[in-house]
Amino acid sequence: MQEFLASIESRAFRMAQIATLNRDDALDIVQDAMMKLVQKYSDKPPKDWKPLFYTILQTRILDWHRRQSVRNRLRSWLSFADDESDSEDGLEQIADTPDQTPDKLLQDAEFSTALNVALSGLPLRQQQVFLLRLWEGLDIRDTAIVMKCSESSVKTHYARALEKLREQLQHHYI
Amino acid sequence: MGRKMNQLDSSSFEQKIKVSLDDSANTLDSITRSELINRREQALKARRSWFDKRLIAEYLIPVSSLAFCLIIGVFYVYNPVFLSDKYAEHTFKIDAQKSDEQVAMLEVLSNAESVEVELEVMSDPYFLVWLSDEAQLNTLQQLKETENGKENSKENSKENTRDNTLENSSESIFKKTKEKVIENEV
Repeated sequence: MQEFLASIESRAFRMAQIATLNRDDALDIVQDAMMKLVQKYSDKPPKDWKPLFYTILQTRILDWHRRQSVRNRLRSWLSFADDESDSEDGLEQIADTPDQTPDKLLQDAEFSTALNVALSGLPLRQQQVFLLRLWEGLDIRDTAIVMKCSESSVKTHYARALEKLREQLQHHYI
Repeated sequence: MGRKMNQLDSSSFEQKIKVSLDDSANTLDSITRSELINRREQALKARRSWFDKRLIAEYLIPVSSLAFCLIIGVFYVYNPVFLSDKYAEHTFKIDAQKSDEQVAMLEVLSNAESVEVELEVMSDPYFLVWLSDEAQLNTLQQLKETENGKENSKENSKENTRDNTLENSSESIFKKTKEKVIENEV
């Protein structure tokens, strides 16, 4: 279990960070998902851990978005100045990359930054489907199980996400 | 041909995105990395504590309660007679000692021909010494008899209850007579 969590935690964190645009919240979400997996599903066979973990993670991310929307609604009703909104800029939330060489940074920084912004701008369902399918390599069936939707919905979400990303990143890609 | 090129573009585009995401995950800053390791450790610790709780809830509590019920059941089914017999025997011995002395005193007091004779007898210190010796001998004999014959304990205990009613009266009479003797001597 420890090895599995160690192998998956970085990507899970990045996934949560892209979804929440907040480092601390992303860490909390990843920890919650880990704890839930460990407590509830550690007796399951290891091959089931990955989809189970991502199911928990996606649920946690969804919960976080729900809570945020409620908070934002309350703030708008109470007319509070939303000082934190400035810090939710996608560009500022991108992780530091001190270990990379300057050449590599120069080469990939622009695309990476644009990708993060584009991914953060996607609707949550499309973003989740895209990351699960492309990055985690889950097949359509497993992605549908994780996302609790039909396989055709997975295909639709994925195609739309890819299309939007292509539109936004075409200048950087070419 | 154009569609195939588009697919190739699409796959290379996806590949580039994947590589970029992998890089971003692999090049997390050291603070975030250590934070993730800490949180993973916490999650695994939570598992241990949860496992301990589960062990207690699912195994230790039922097993201990079952053992307790078994002990209670054993005591209930196999009535521990030795305890009750022991106490009964002990109480019987005490009652037997007291009752013999009291009966002897009652006989002496009730069978006296007259008060004067009674007072003379009762004022004699040798008589009192003899009486106490007799009483002690009687009690020793009774103890031996009770040790030998446990079967009669129940009947004797019934008698003792009857004798207990006489105990208070005989003791008070004995005290009064003693006081009288002392007054006369004075």
